[in-house]
Amino acid sequence: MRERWPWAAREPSEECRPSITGRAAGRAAEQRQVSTAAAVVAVAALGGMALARLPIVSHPLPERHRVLVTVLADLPRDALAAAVTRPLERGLLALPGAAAVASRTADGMVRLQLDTGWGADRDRLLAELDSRLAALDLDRGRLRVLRVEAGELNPQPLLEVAVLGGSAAARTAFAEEVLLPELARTAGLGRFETIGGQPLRATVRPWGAALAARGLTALDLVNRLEDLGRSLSAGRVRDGAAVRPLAVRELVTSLAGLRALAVPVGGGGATRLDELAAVDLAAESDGSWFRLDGRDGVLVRAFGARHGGVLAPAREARRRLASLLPRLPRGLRIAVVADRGIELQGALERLAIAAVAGWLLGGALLGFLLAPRALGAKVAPGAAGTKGAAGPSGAAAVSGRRGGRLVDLFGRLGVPATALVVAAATCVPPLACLAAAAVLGPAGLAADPVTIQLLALGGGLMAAQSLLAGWAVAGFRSGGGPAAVSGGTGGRKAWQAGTSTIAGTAAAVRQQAAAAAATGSSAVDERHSPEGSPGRSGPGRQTTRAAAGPGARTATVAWTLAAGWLVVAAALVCVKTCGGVLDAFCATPMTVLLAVLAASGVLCLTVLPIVAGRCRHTADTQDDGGKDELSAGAQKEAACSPAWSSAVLVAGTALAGLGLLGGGLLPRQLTPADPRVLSVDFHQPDDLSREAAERLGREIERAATALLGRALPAGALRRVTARTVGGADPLLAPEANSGVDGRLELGFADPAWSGAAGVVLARRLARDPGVAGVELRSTRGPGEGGNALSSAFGSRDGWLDLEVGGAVDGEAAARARLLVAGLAGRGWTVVPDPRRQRPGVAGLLAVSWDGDRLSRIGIRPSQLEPQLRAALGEVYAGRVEIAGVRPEVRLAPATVPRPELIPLRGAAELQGGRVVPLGALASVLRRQPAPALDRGQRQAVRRLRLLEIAGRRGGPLPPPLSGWGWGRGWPSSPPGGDGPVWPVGRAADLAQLGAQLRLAPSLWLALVFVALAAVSGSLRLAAVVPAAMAVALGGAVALLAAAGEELDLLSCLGCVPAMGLAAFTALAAMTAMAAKAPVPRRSPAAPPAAAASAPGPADGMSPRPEWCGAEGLDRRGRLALSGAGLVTVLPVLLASGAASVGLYRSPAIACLGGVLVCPFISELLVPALARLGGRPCPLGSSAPGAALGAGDGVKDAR
Amino acid sequence: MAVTSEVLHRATFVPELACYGTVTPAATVAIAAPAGGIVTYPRRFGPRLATGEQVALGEVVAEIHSEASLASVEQARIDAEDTQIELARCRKGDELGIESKQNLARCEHEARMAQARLVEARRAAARLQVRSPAAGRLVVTRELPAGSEVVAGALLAEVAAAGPLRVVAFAAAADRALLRPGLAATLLGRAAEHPEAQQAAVGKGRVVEVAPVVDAAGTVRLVIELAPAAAPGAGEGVEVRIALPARPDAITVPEAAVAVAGDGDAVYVLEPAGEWLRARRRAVCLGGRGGGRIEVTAGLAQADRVAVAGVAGLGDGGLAVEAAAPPETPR
Repeated sequence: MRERWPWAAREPSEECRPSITGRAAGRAAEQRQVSTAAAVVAVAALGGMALARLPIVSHPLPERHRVLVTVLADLPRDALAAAVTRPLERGLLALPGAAAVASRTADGMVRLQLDTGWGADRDRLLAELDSRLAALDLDRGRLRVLRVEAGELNPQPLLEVAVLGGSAAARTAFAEEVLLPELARTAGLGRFETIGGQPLRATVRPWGAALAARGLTALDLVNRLEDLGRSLSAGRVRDGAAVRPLAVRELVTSLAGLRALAVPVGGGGATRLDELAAVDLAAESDGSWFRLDGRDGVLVRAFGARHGGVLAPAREARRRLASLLPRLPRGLRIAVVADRGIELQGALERLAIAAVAGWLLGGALLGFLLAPRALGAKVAPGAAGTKGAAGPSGAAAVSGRRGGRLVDLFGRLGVPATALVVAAATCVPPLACLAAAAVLGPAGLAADPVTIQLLALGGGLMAAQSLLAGWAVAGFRSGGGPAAVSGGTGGRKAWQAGTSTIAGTAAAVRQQAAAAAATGSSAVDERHSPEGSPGRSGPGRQTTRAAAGPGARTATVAWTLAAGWLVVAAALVCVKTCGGVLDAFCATPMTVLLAVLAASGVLCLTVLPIVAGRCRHTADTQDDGGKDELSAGAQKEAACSPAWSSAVLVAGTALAGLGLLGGGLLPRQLTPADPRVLSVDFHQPDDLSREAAERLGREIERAATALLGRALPAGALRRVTARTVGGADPLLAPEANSGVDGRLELGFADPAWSGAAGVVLARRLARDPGVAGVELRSTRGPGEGGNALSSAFGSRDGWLDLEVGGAVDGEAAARARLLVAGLAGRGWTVVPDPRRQRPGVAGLLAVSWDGDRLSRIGIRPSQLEPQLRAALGEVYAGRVEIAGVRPEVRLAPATVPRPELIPLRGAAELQGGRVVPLGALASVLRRQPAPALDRGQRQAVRRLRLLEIAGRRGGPLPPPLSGWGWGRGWPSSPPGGDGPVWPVGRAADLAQLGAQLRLAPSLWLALVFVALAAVSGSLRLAAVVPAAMAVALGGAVALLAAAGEELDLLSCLGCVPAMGLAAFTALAAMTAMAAKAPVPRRSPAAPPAAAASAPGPADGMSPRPEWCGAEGLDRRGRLALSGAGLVTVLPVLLASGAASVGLYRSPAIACLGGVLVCPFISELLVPALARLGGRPCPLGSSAPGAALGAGDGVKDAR
Repeated sequence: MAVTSEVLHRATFVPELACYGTVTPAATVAIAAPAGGIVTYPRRFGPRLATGEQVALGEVVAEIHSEASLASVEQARIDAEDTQIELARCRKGDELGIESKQNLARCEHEARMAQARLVEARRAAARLQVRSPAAGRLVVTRELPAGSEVVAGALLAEVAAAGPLRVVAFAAAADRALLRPGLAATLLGRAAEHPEAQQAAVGKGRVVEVAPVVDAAGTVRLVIELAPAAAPGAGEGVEVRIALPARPDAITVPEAAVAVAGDGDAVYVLEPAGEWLRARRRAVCLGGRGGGRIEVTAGLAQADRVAVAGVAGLGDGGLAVEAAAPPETPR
């Protein structure tokens, strides 16, 4: 097998050496410095422009949609299920992007709910749905598609503005006529929603007794009002020279006019409308209501347009709101309830500060690392480009003449060379971000806090890249060269020649070698510098410290950077393979991170050599090789002492095991929560009327806030936001909206008070007869402390919905009962699906017509049913033109004490022109309706809802559930039942994430192993890197557990840069070990082939690979790699706070946990693994042997 | 689930029956035009009769100016004068002996007849002054301004005779067995002082008549005579709550306590279960309703504790807590 990796022992021949991209790029950049600089500046400028235009969104999740289809038919439930439900289920599941279909079939009605996967094409979906519905045989069974609704499942209101004060009508009028049009003019805002609007409307509420006394029914009023205000065409008339159409309209322009409307009564007379009904202007609720801190209001929600971003629309909307303030009517005021733009801006500001802090700290670290190596190095004005400075190397001279003007300028200004390198290396991460923005911005990328945060956490990787490249450049320039080590004159000349280019040519190396040979102070091994690598000189230990030259150094750096990038790329491949929620959430941030890392690598290989290439170092540098050797310390111990090595391996294995297996012990959630904000949701019985529910909700709010005021010490409760929103979610089925929900959002100074308050409120609310259920949880949804990302996964994130399947409904019900019993014993709160009618209140009043009597008097039920509907339903009939009043006249349900008294009219000649009560023609019975048939997964299901345990903040899943199903995948056998159980909604996302989190790390490590093995040809190398990554994962999990955090999407994403940095560190450590491996003493005259064919311990030394000519990172450098990750993560961690919308803490902790174990990896684990491979200590002088990769290469060569 | 409970006791319960009715006056007398002609009204009525005007017995409410009647009177007068002249001539001839006794008798007869016709014509002309047949208030359903020409028999107005109002109501035939004369009734309707209130009690009365037959529409006609102090206006529709015979020792529950199930009505009986209450669903038979309560004829016993609020969240065997308990405090 032909080795292509620098770690491989087999020495590559001249012709088989691959073209190393990094080296080629470095050489090209070295030869075209002006072009490179111009390109970098151009890309940075383009990136800046693209960055300025980049839309800012709240999260990286794509859209997903829900489509509700309602079909009416005069068929019983079972017939409807066969004729409509099942065919439609099949059709809907075949739609592009369809993920799940749930249905509910009742007598006469089918309601299907189609949920799409992430990123589904809504337009195409609806088009296909239309064709499916058109294919239904609507004539059969008198089917009628009542409604098709489609909406996003993850709608994100950018702005929520409440109008408070004044009367309900004034609030509504201002919201709808002033506020909404003003906001609608904002670019980037799409849909709007008004909650709690109570517009004035002319309302006619018939009196049953008055109707009966005059022989009228409610339908008579409907018929009378229908033509009111309606223009009826009455032909054409000549008007002068023109013929104009004539329209007839009965116009009512005042309430008095409406009251005086003549209604014909039996016998040819007429009576006034107000004799038959109460006619008033009433504030009509649209079915929703909103209260903020106990005050009624109107809430206007503004949703963002697609690709509209967040910050710019929110800013513009705020400006428009400010312009509205002078126009506010007296008594009204505007309050911004939620402003996603402010939240996002705060988050981004914190991120920006953290990123800049990390960036500067990384630069400082780089300066600290490089300063001793190039202490006193100055850029000598005029030195560059001169023959004397470049030495005899023609290539170097040419290279020096091409560029260096900029560097010369800095030199004339007295800027130290190291400062230039440090500055350049420090600028690499932001330049890489700009380069990535220049490419991804025009491609439609939108920036979001998660991606930016990942970039901030990935700053450690970029800093490590810069460190490695900067160290290579500055180290070689200042003291890493062979001559510096040997101290001979020839060596110094060779070093001077080598300084002209980091990608020096073979000719330059030969010249260096010749110069060195002429001094007799060093020997050059031609085998190791076939293509530009300078040879090593000197026997024994000094030889091991010799550097192979700039070419090999660049190759090493390039390969290390490429390997690190490959590791992160494998993560993206793994995420794409897993698909689902992991792919939807992580793909975009990781793609951006990969692009930035690639740009950073390219910049490291091009910009840094140019900057350093003009430096002339005038001061002698210290050789820290001896110190490094002496400071090997624990690393030597780990590699050489069996006991120490075993201990290190055990610790590493434990950490890796914790990472790979122990992650399952951590509580899992989709998104993080803020424990300082407690959200108390109370649910009221489904059968309450809207007015009763609203009244009860107000009382509950008042009682709860008063109770907390007494129960908690002063200052513990910082904020109370009582908010009741009913019937506002257009995506929920009407059944789901029947319950009334109220929410108290409580902000605490200390998380401890949150728990105490939760207990108090739970006990208080549980004793309230108007409360059917109470949920307490840390806020994950919108609002202060919550984040927009959480709401993308579902607003009801306190609930976990399950479906228990069965072949028939009874089987599903039986299994559901078993499941409830099993979970109840484990401390779970399980409630039946609220959409399913409860046994106590599920009754209905059924009208059973007296068929005999109707036949005798010649009336058909179909004649009476419209009268019933008109009497009991809300009907809009007729229009009025009254200022400030909605034009449609509302006919409210008739006032009847009992349904039996509803007046109906049948055959007038038999009844003498009078009406008769419903009770005379029919019986009104209290009946239990046939339960609707719930289907999901194409079989009968029963739906259950699990409530997160009250009082738990932070929402880790309780042990019973995490031990069942969540940790072992879905569907699974529930406790106490044998049937299949599926999670739906948010629970499905959570379960899918749980399964993916079990698969993804293993898949990632396997991919890394295979990729590295394929590229390097060394199985040992391929094994060490995944092992290091697993240890880093263990560190991340351990720190998450220690910090009390949970495993969520964000913390998983935070593990990616940490594991990438661990891989990078492991590679650097192996580089250092291989560089320190002893090299067999060879005759300079020995041909490379012979040397390659006769390696081994014949001379007591193992062969050293070619790359070992390049000096590996010393201990300080290796630790600096970890330090780079640390200094970039710490600011992000410190940036977590209330204004950071709870996004940053858990990923920063995960990343920090992984970074913290990187020194362990580089200094202890990798040497221990080398010993585990049966190789003697690569650093010990008494134990000659090869380094890990070197030995492996030797074996392969043999 | 927090509930509110109630311990049952036996007590006298008065169920009610509700129906709609129309308020009518005690008697209504029609005032029709006795002859065709031009109608005029006395000065106090103005240009037209108005509903609600109080009139006395025999008071002229309208006058009909009929040309035909005047012509008849004139003709009768002329006839009477002619017959008188003829009678005088016959008497003089009898004195002179030139007329027979028989002819004199015929003239006398004709004179009396003519006089009678004149009297009748004058009487008929006098009847064109329309007088109220009863004391009461006018109910005008069709306004006829003064000067209008009416035909004979045209309805000028109705006089709602003073006296107790009545309510004519129609109850469902199924309830006929519960009804009998003498039952007390309460009227609910729009109160005059609070027109927006639709369920205010506006009067009380007593059932005086129950139709012995059920009409074709399935209703039974009831007549309720109101107490003199009753306020509703005639013609208004009212809701009639008829108090059915009281049921002693009845067990009643609030209507909200009754749950509907597949096999009938049920209530939840609460049993102690430690510090909680356990709800047991119990099927019941229901009787009459009244005052927001409903009689339970079977299924419950005295001293049973039933859930009366919060039933919505209960299930058979479920635990509940009394909502009235004071909340616990932290710390």
